[in-house]
Amino acid sequence: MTLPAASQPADAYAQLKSEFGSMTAASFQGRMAEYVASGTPIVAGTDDFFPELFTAMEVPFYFVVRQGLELAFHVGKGPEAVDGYNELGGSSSLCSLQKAAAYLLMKGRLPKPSAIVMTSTSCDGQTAVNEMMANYAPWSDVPKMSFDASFEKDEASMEYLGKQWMRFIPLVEKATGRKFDLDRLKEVCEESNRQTRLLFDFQELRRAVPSPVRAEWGFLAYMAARWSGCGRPLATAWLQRLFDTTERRVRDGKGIDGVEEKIRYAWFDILPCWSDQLFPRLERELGAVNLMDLYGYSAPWPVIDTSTLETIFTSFAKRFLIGNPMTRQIFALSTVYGGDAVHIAKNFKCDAILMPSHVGHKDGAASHRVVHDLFREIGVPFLVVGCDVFDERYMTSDVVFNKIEAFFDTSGLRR
Amino acid sequence: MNVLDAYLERVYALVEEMRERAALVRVYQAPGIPGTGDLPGASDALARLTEGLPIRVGPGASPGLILRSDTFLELGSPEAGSCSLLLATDTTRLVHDGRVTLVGPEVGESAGGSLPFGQVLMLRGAGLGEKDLDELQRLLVVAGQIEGYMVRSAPGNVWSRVSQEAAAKGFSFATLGRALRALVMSGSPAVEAVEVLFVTSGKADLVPLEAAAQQVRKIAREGTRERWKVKGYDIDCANDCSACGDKPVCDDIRSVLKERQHIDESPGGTHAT
Repeated sequence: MTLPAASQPADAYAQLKSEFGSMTAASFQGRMAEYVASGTPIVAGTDDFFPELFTAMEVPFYFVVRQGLELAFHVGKGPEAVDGYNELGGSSSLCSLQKAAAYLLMKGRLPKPSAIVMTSTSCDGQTAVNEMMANYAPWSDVPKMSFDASFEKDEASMEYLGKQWMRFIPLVEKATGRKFDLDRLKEVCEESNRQTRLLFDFQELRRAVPSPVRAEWGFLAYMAARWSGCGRPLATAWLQRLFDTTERRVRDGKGIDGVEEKIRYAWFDILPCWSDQLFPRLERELGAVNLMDLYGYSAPWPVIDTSTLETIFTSFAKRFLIGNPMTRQIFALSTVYGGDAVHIAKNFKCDAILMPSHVGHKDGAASHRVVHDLFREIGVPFLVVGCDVFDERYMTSDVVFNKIEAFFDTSGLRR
Repeated sequence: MNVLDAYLERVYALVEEMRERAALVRVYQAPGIPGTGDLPGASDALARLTEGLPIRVGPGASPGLILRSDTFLELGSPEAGSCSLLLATDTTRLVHDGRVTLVGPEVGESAGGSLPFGQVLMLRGAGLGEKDLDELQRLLVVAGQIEGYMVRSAPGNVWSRVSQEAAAKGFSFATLGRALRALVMSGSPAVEAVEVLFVTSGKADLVPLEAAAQQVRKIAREGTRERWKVKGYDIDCANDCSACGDKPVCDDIRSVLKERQHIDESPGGTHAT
């Protein structure tokens, strides 16, 4: 559908947002309560390792940490879950999102799955939640498989992980009663390939000066392709419309509505749950536009090779280890993290890089000195904030704003 | 003898193998431009090194984004295949400064197409070696520095676009090779010579290059680790349990949890109630 140029942006994006809401509501995650009520077998995982498999088998799947978002932070109950976790005596250094997930687990608020898949990841908090899930007494009868991801990123390492993951298929079949069909998985993977291509094409449009859309669209696009609509044609069509609408905006030289872009920066971590308290204010008061966040950008997603079951699972391993932004950057040498940051700074013409240094991201925090040195080499100002991107009580959005404002002032970027 | 010299020789051997298989091999030579040591500044060096090119090279040369509809040719997409390799040495005989070798079709012969793309940059300079690869790689973040050329990808491969406008101006692989040479030589005074190989002939021709690239990445990683260690940083983290001093603690916790689970699941245990 071609919209008249004058009415295009606001109308088109409002429509896209509304459709995204409907897509999420119809997704496995959105229908979780319905599955629990009907006794439909569910699989739980500790990351989005291979959502294509669950789409192909029509097996409802949830990603444990995302439950912390959906059942706690997104419904205003994050602080309650974090405090509840602290009262249980858990480690204070855990990421708040993981605290919420752990609390929901221990309080019996996570849907009991029929099978659990776990894999070592970049997130130490996730590893702690893995252990809790594996040893949670009410789930002791749930079959679980835990896999080992290699720190190396060569072909042999990808095959090593892919071969392990393939062993999960018979377990899912047995635990859920659903039959695995390789041809159906291939179809879903082809659709997923189209989605990740569109996802990357869309993210790159934000290189344009001025930036055509807010950074939140990057995260929504990621969610559509990887979480809500992975392998489903409806999500592909949505991503295509998002791309087309945004490309027209770039061609017309239009920036974010109502914002005069003066400073371009990247928020090099997960977008905060309190984004709406911070980013619009930075735009409005300083003309500072966020171009990028951890999930709003990634390296090009490896294409799933659908030749055989083995190549499909090796491709899943590649996607997890070098596509998934967090694993790619943190489950690697510090210079990979820094190298990606440098690429983003240069390719997106960033005037500055903000490292939120989320309290839970200890591996990332350990790399800050290296990244700081790299940015000094390329002459891009760099600020470490030190906030909690989930629990605003740790550092309020006002304090974060003040830090950023002072940083822009002292760096001579405010104009 | 530099540890990367064997890979430089391997690259030359691969080109000969491709030539013997009747692949179309073209060799371009940049005009005789001496090293940049006698030039007063990087921008002057860049101007000299890019003299006569049909497009601009340097900061601000391009807005940095080429839309799909403005694209003349796409190179190295995930579907078509891509491989990128950077080699550095101080062995004089191994790098022929200014030489650009192309195996496969030229830009002008591929309108509207998508080609596989192999890019090998071979650099020479006093003392250069594997420890320098990471730093030199950053000079290859083209961003908006080559008019009509956009590199889309993150480190590790090259997925790029050539614009219709640049193609109309005569942008070729000889142009790209010279532009990359200019960016590297003006960005690092340590680099005295640059030779470039591009492969667009087919995905199969990238396979042996990728095998070499994987080995070089491992060597480069060790070099990078050593280089940062000199600066006082340990850039690796020991994710391997066997290397962790706390392993006995984790082992104890695991055995306690296992015992606990056993108790919970036994008749009269927590779980049974």
